Amino acid sequence: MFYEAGSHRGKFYITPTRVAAFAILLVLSLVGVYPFIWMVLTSLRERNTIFNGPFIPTNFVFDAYPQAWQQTKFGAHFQNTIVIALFSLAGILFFSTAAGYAFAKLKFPFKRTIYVMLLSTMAMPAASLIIPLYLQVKSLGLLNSQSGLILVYVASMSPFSIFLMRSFFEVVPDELIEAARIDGSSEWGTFFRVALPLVKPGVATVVILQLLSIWNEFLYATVLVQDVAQKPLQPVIFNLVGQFNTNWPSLTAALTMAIIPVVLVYINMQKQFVAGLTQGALKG
Amino acid sequence: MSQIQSLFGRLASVLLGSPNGRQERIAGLSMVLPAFIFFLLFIGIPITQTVLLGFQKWNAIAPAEWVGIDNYVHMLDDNVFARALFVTFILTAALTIILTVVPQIIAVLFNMGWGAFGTIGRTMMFMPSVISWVVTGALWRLILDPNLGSLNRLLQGIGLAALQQNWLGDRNVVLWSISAVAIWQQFGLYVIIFFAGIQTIDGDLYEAAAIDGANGFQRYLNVTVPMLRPVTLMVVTLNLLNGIKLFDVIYVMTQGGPVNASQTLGTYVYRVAFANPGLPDFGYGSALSTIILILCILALFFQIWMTRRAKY
Amino acid sequence: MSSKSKSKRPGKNQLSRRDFLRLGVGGAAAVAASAASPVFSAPMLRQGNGNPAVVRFWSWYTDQEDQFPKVVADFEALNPNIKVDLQIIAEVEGAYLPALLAAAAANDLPEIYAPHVYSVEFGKQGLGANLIEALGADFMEDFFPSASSMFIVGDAQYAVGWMAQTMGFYYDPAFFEQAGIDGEPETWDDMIVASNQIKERIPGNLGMMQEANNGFSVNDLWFPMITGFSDDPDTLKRLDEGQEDWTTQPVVDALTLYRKTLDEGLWPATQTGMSQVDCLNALYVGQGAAFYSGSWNPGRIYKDAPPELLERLRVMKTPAVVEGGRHWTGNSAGAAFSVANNSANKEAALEFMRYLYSPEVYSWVMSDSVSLPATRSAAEEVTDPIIKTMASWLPDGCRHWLTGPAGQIVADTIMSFTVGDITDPVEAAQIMHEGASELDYS
Repeated sequence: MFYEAGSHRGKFYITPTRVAAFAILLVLSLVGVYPFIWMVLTSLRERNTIFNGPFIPTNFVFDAYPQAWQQTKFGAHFQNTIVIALFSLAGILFFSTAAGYAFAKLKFPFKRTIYVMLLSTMAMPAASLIIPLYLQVKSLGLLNSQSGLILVYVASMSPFSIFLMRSFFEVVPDELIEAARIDGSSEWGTFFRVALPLVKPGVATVVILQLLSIWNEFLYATVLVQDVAQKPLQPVIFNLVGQFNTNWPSLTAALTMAIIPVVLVYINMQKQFVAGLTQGALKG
Repeated sequence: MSQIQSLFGRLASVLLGSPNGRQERIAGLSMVLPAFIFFLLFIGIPITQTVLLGFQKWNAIAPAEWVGIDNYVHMLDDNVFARALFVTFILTAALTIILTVVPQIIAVLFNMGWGAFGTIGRTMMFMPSVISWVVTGALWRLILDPNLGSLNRLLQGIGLAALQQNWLGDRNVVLWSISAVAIWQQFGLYVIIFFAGIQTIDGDLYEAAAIDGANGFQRYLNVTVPMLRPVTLMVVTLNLLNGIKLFDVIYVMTQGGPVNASQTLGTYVYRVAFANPGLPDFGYGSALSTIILILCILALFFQIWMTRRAKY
Repeated sequence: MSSKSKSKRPGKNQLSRRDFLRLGVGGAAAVAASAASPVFSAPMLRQGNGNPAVVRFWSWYTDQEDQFPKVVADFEALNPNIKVDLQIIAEVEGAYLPALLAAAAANDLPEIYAPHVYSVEFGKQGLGANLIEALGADFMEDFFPSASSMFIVGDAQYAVGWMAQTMGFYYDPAFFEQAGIDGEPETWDDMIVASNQIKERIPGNLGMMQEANNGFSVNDLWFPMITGFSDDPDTLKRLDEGQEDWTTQPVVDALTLYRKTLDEGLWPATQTGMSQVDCLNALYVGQGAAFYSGSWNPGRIYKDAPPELLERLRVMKTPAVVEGGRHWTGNSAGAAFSVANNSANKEAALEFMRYLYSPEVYSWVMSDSVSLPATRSAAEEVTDPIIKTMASWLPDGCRHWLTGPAGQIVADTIMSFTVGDITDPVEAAQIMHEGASELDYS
């Protein structure tokens, strides 16, 4: 009774297994969401009750929101983040689906060498990479620009997505691809029309994970974009964290506002999973 | 356009040998090369420089000095490096096992069909990945505060005061605390990866298994597990890579302390590069990074090897 | 780095390097095309003729995050030909230092920067300006010597102090009274007695606290003990520069005294798991009696602590090592500003420095942000009682951190000593000595 195939299509029913499963999922969900609740409640507290007040504040104060909005020039940096995220994501999606498909399903020379070289990106600690990267971006004349940051994001984040997409494409049966070839479809055509629609949940996963990485990235954004007006939101918000002096209500208010779009995209992408499912998954 | 194609074709015949499957090879290269060129330009060059810096002495401002393998020789009698290697190994093993097995089971549970709760539950579990480490790190440090923290107070409250610990200050306990926080942080991420993987499994397979009389657990073992193999392998590899360069969680919780008890290669690189008193030692930091790079490449070869083995 | 390190590479790498360069040219063309679209327009930071000179002004000092913007706005109103680009990058090791070092590696330091521990090194390499030459010796006169000494090499000075520091115990007198302790304990021995008395009489109280979860913070505590035993504020400077051995008697004495505080219960048993936040929280909720820390705290405590505590809170001088001994206090101006030497806008940067440190502006910033000033004239203007008390200790200032290469080994050893891996003070001193004597002090 571990796995109930097809139950998602039917009505809800109650069995002991389902009750146990529900209990497990509920507990883990609550544990997961706890910091979010804490963050939102902290943004509504008075500053001198952050660490010593009750979990649910006695007084709700909304001052932190307008304060954080002003302090971080939220609107302008939010716009920067959106532009950076959209362009980066578009690049990452194109590179990762095409390359992921090729690595999973096609034979070509230097395949393994290129794969390992690409993925070595995921292996290099940012602490060591950051200064050579800075010098490289500078020598390309892209320092201090959003375009430079976008290109670095695309280059540095694509390998992880290629890695994900490769695994999702591996699940697609070879027979479907052979069949398309026999029908005279070109390789690119097979990729676009046959394989890609089958890995929508994988694409949704890439969108969520990479959007998050871009949204929360702050080391490259801090170092590669010096001009304050050009910066995305995250490094600006991080400046509310002092070494000795952190304004927690402002910080948590800014972070709460900042993650709303990510959560909305996440919920939307979740629908992709279910959509892939109802379309009969791999029957194309 | 056609000129470019014919040029590409000629290049291909030199590169690609026999015409058999040539189209496939051309297509493969054309799908991979844009990403690869991008990678070389922005990341490949800096990575190469980092590897080369591992053979130099460089503090970011004075001219670099070629020192051969001195940095690597230094590792041999560096106790902190030995400790970091050990901790990295332990944490990688523990996190890889737990963060592969448990999320897969949870994803299967989610697939039992829960309507809106499923979406909401997955979103809730995913929240730790969404929220910045600044917040989650601060929250966990409050929870684990040995005197005022809610964990010790909870243990006291339910009569288990004997289990109270100095969670981040005791060298014998700190790795458990770190592991728990790391698992908590990444858990939801792997749940959604597995969940997405399960969605791509052909539903007919389950129906066929059901007709053969397989119960839920047998269907999990005989259909879900083998069909999820590529995704599982990816998750294992991802965990290995994340474990080998584990950094964020330790940086916000203990910065490698107390007395290097939770020092990993990732935090040690950081310490050498940016948290050392005096000028940074980028030569040694780069050599340490190169070790991380080599370990990660081994993990990638493991994935390739496993993938090929699965095919025969 | 690139050109300098590349020339050192052996010939074998020549080929691959050329390949990379070729790729670089092709890629740059593609990039240039994308840069032409309006979204991608990259603003140039430094402007040509006719435009205002841009002064990048970088620090991690969030203490003045409310005051800096006003100072910048006022200055720009007075100097319409200069634009100050203020950046407070609060994450020090996580973001500020990578950004600063990357800029230094490219010889493109921001015009004004908080140098962290790099003031002298940047200066020696010609990246940081000699401020005695640039601003004049008169400019330096008003500063406390301890706020300048660590930036001076020979005739040159590569940074000027921004905030001074002294260290002592923040405490809640109510607990001292309740435990029957009269006045402020004079020596560390008195402190041990007082802490035990508090813990005994007030169940659950943690007594005196220090931030003992990392060796650098423990250095803040035991380095002043070294000066206490030698009565010579230069002892640490000599140790730092490798001119004196760590096995010297004052070091062993200080380690012995610190061992005593550990063994005889001055600190909470859980202290190695307590961060600065944990200690302050214990103070706020009335679970700790006193917390050893620096003068950077009041601005934060005033915002975070419950109002009842603020009415009582006081600060006491670092205890003496022997009765009648001098109360040496950890002191330095870790917070400072330097000026980039090679920027085209150096003159504009110096103009802003003169404005920032002009007596009215500087005094106002310091008092409005409840910070300990680095100049005598501003120190006289201080009104906050805690800052005023801590400012009065400045003449007894001594080093509480190392800028030289031994910093890490000493911090690691004192941490092993704190957790009890090493218990013998002589052995600990020997380990520090062995580690420190292998290092390069040039």
